[in-house]
Amino acid sequence: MANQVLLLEDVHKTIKGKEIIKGISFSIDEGEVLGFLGPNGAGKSTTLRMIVGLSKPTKGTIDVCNHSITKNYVKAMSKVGCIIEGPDLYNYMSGKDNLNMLAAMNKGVTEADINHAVELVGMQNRLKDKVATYSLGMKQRLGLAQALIHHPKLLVLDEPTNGLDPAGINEFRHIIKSLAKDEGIAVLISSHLISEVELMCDKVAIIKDGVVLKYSKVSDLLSSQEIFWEVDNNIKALEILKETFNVTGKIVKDKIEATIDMSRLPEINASFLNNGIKLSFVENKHKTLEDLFLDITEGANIIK
Amino acid sequence: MDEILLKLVQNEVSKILSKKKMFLISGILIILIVLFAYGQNFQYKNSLKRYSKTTIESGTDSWKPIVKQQISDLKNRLSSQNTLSYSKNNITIQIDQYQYYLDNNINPLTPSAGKYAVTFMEQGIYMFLPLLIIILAGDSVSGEFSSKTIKILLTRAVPRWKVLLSKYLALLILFSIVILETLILSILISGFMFNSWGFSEPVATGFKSIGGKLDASNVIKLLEWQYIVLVYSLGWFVSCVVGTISFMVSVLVRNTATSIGVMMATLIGGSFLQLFLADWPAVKYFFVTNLNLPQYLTGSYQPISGMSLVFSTLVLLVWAVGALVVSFLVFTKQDVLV
Repeated sequence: MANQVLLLEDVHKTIKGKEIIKGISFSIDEGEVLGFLGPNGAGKSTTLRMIVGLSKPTKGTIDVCNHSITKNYVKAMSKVGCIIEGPDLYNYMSGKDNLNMLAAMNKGVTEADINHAVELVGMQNRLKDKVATYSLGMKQRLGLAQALIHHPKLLVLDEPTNGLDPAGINEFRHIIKSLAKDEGIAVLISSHLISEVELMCDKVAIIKDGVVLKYSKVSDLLSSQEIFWEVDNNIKALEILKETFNVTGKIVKDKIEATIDMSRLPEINASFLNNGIKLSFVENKHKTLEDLFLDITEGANIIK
Repeated sequence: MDEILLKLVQNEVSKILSKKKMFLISGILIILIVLFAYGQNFQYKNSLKRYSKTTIESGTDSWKPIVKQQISDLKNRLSSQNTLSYSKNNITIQIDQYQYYLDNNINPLTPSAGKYAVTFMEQGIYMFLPLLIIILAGDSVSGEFSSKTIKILLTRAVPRWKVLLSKYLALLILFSIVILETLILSILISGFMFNSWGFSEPVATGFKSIGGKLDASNVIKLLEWQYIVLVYSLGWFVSCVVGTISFMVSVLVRNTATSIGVMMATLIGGSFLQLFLADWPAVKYFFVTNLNLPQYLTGSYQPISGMSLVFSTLVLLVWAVGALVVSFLVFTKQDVLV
């Protein structure tokens, strides 16, 4: 079993008497990429801030590499690299000065480490210029370099692809994937680009109103799907589903809906036909993670 | 010393330096010192012209008739009905002091670089210098919040108290540089302007007023350069206190403009409050009221009874320690939500 890098257990956070996070638990293993999804105001950012030590949980524990972020802050944080809500660096300094300064804050970061991180994000050419002259995309790259100089075990990225062009996003995706696969870094990415998460992440956690609504592997999420059929005999079709496949379906607007494992769909369809049911239309309700996300977080009412 | 802390202090100093604030401060200092020195030279020559008509004495003792004239001017003010009773006390002491200078052959008038440096600090210590200090300290922490860089600063493997301590130490270093710069610039500029250095001239300090009378028995005669060191040490202390309070404000408000605004309002408002000092003694515990430390050295300064060099120093010290405690408590506990 892979080593657990990040563990959240029943984390609560109350800000000004309002409970923003209502008991969140999840974990990330070495080399795993977890996508953190949720509508605006769901508590994504608050959770990420607690993981990187910018704010303290009201209740619950957060461990990074088995070091508690509250009790053993320095040890835990030495394993964490992050970009929280945009790569905010010192505009009045050069990219190189920024990195040198931040590198000095960690023990044992060498010039070679800095150069390695810079090459990884492809920022060699503009490093001597002031950050104020950078485009947002370049700032994102520098932000990532900053998060990597001290060889973290956990990378926490909040909306990391904001401001990157399509080529940049693609490149960024490859960097993240290779960091996870080759160096075994655990990555936590929050994003509102669900297609991004679908392409980049192994696991996904969908949160709303401070609660994790769905937490599973992306492949499981997409293979377990709600399907609807248009048939000429709804009652009979439901019976077949129940008796043969042990699946409970329901009738919605003259159609049958049921949640099944996608791999069983051909089998079910064949069974319908064999039993004399005329099948006119079959479709899966959620084609993408985005549909699933919208369905799960449906009726999100931010202001409560 | 802790290796990480040392590097953090280095970082903080280089941050402040790369904001080019020290250039701004040096520029302001140079302009003001030149103007002030020019003004003083002008004033001295004017009064020399005025008094030289009424006297025939000349040579190295040319200052003596002027001092005598000033004593008689002060005596006129003393007998005037418009003079308030508590300033009469001060005037009496001033007269005695001038008399002491005459008797002991100490020249308090002819401008020299040494005297100028002291005067500049005496005049600057309660408003001008604190403003320069606020420029430096006002955005120390709030600037990191304004630019949101506080996030990369506080997500490193460094405890928060160490981050804050490094910021504070860096500021102390820069305050010291500003004081040193003030000293060097004022000596150099005025020295070339007056063409007189005067470091080894005697200065009398330690006058005491007892019952409105000058007690010269405790007077310590110093050389000018020793007096400069004394006054500039007080200037350094006052700068550190004002800087510490400004540092606290910058932790509390999280916005640079507000932070500097609050401190400026406090300084200027505080000097208004000084007007009520005689009738409302609680004002003496306010830090702004106690900034004028070098004035105590002249002996003719006592805003109200109960205030002394020791008293003011203690009040300032309590304010600084309090500000530091508040800064550290708030900074280490707060949630960073920018």
